[in-house]
Amino acid sequence: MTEEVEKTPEELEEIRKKADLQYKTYSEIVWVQFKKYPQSYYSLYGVFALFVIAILAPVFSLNVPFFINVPAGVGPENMQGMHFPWLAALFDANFFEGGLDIFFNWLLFALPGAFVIYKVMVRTKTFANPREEKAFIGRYLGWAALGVFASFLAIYMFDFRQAYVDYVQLSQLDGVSSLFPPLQYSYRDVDLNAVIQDPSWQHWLGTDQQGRDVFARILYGTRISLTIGVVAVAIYTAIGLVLGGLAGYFGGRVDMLVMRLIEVMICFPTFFLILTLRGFIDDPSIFHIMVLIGITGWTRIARLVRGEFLRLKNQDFVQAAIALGLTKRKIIFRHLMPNALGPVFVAATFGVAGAILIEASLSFLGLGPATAPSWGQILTAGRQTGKIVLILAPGLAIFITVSLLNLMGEGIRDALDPKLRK
Amino acid sequence: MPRTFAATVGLIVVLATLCLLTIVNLVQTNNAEDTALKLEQKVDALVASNEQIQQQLKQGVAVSGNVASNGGGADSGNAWAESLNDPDNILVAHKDLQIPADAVMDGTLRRGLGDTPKGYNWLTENSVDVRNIQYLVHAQFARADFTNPDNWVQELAHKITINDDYTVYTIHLKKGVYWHVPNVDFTDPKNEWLKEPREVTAEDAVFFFDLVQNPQVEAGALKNYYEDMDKAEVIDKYTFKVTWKKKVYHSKSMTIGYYPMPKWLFTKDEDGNDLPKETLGLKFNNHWASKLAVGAGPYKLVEHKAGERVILERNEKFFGPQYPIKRIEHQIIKDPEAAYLKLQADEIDFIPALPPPRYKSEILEGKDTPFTRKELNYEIVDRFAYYYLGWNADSRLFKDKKVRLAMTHALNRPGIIKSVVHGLGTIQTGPYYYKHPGTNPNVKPYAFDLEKAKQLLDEAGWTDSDGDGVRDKVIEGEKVDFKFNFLSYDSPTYKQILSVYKEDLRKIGIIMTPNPVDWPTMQKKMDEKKFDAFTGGWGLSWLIDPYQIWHSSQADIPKGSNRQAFRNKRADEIIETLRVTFDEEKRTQLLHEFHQIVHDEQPYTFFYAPQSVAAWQPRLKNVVINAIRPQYHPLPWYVDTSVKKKK
Repeated sequence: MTEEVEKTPEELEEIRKKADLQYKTYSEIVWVQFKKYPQSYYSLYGVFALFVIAILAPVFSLNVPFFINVPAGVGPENMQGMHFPWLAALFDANFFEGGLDIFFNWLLFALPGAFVIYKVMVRTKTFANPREEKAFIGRYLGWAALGVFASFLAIYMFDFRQAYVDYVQLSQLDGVSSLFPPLQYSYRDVDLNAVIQDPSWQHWLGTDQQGRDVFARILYGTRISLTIGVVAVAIYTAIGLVLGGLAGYFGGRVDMLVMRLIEVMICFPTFFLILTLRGFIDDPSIFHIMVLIGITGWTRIARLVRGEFLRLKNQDFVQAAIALGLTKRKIIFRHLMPNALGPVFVAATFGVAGAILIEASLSFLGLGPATAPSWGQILTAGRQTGKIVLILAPGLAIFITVSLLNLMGEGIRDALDPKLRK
Repeated sequence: MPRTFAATVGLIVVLATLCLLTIVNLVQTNNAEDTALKLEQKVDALVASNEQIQQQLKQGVAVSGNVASNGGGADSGNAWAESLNDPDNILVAHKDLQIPADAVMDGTLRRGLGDTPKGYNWLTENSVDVRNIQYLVHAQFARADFTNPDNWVQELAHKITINDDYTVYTIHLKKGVYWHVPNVDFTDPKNEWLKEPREVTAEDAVFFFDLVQNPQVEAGALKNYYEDMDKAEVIDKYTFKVTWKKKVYHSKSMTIGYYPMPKWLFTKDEDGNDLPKETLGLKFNNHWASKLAVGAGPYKLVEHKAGERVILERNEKFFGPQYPIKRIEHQIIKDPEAAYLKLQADEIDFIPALPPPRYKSEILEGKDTPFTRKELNYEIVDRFAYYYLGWNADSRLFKDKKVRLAMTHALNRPGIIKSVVHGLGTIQTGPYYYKHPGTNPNVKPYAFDLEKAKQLLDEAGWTDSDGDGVRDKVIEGEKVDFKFNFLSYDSPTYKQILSVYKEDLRKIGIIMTPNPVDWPTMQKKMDEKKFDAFTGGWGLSWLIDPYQIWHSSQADIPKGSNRQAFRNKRADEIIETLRVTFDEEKRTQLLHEFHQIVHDEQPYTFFYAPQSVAAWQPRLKNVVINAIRPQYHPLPWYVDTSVKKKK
């Protein structure tokens, strides 16, 4: 027998590095697969672009100037001099009622900020290997998200408000210089002298019955649709994960209870259930709608998760984990959940599109928040006025968003499925 | 399955081409159909005129003879005209419902009805649909003349006298007036007892007053008006007397303006046996005969099919003049938009209200529409109602009349009427119909003026002390922001109005949130007085009694209609005096003063009196629309049967 050659620690390290380079994580495999579906891949960019549009809405369209310079002796006393009202207007709770718009306005600053901080931190840090760097990115993303959300809550709680000033009128006075966003309209300012107008250079998509600019409303409507989609789905995915996980892992009575609950929920036509529940809310806001969709849509996810858990529970690696005496928490969160997430992720992507449609239908029926610029409400205005632009524009916006999400979902589904790998 | 990007794009292109081709095809087919239709119509018109000529040749002089027997006003041949000469008789000759001499005494009027009535017992059912049918099927003792509602004219009664104190009414009915024979299956021997025609007598008249006073009868709001009535007595077969406990103004219309009830029918069960007297009222609420709609009026019910149609036919034995239209078909149409489409397709002849967006697109801005082509006629009609925004004077926000006045100044009434309801409204300044003589001519509507509103709010102590853009005021040691929810009925019009109002209020430092709710929720909240402000509307009547809405006693009773908590001593005095004043001049004076008080106090922001656009087929002639209810009363209308229907 020849003696085995002992390897030096340096050599071992070399081998490990090589392995690391060859080794691909699950998400990397999926990403490579996903890129092989061009329409899904471009749709991902499309969805990303929608989010960018939603965040940048006030840069395109607001009736408050970036700066305004009022010379002495013109206009009201307290308005004289140089002002930058745009910045303050973004956080004015008198104007942007409800937290949704203020959240997106905050993202306008928070996201670039977080990006800059990340760049700086990457520069100053050195990583031993790519895995470590990835782990750092993951941690950073988590903390950044938490930070952005916490700072938003602080801003929202502060409840900043300011007095109304008609800047458009002010800017038309002699000697006043100002710079407005390209469209001088907000989604809520009414103009009874310009109701139900056809598209023109002033109003790209015309105006509705109250003389509000439809293009501005569609722009801000993007925020509502995307938020509704993401938050509603997040709510029901969370409920579905917990209930499905419980049923799948523990089985027996728990399983029976959860399954009967699911069956009862499925018996109700979801849309009518939402309509009924809506009846109990006096003053619905967008968040109510999200919660309504959230608490009615979880059954699909729960069944998926339960199925995955049942399948995984009997597999060797889980049995091994049990045999090793790991705690239930570790087994569920470390071994079962990550492996069950694939189908859930696919269902959630399609769910976002579904939730956007439900919200549009609710608003179309006049059951959404009364003054929010939701796409469904613009559609209703179109039905009431018979103006084809008011029907086509929000219709197209809904169609594009839902199509992009569905195409993206298809790509993810195929990428996650090992049998369909190209 | 290969799913490439290019394939998807290709598929979309193919589908789009197919779509385009289909549309082109449809347009072409449609054109061909149109041409065929026009040809057919021409042939029809030729045939019709041919027939007419032949008929006229055959009848010769008879054509003009027909005019003589029916025309010349409805009073010709009225045996009871003589009693109008009696100086004690309060009834006068009528000037309304004039039938033109050349009216065609035939034809069918097809119109819409919101829903099939559950029954036609107008005492217990008070839906608009039952009302509309009631006006045609029943006959009143006396009727307010449509051209001047202060005059009362003969219907069932030929003579009515009142004592000097306005407490005793003696009513003389016409003789020989018969109830309709119910529309039932007479082959069934069970119905035999209904066959015999029965005369309208004083018994039937008194039976109505007995019913409305019967505590078991669910006659709703109507009962309040009979609280001060003492009794009704039969004097002889055709005469009865109604006595009131005290002098009240509404006693007149409540006594003479109502309808007798067929006693021979409502005191019996289905087999013709007497109902026990003790439970008559309870049985009456769901009486089997209420589906028969037995009246003594110019039209009788011949068909009732739930969810589909209600058909009336002319009562050939009617005591008054024969009205031109022979048959009135009501189709059940729930949606005004659907009604308009049916009118366009010539499936109905008349709609009372064109949907306002249609008014804008088809009439105001329309270039080539049925209205511009004269295929349909229309008229703008005052709806005899008004809308308002009510302020809860018991809430700390709207206690001060200056604040309420500021709210009125902040409401862009002209702009909203013009843009939201397309000009179909008149600014309202008080609680009566704006053409009623009681309207004070000196009251002018407050202008839309945000500066004035700001100034009034400043004066009332609501200032933006902390610079946050919202006005505030220290009330009982607590700083209150001027923010409130606006309770409103969930309709597209209210939503639009409130979203305009919201923006104007924001400009003067008030944060308002519209709170649209369904009707039951709204009523519940109003009954519980859980609101700062609310939207509302009132139907009007010619007889003005502001007690229910404006008397201070109504502000404190549960479920009262004085939800705005209006309490004004002088107004209370006027309201009480009005109730016992019969002198028209004195009444007008009091009404003027009351109007002024309400205008100064602004318990409501009076909004607008709505108008609607009635539209009809041109073959419908002499379409007289009344200022008071029933507004769309088709008695004098007629159908030019020579105009053919569209295919």
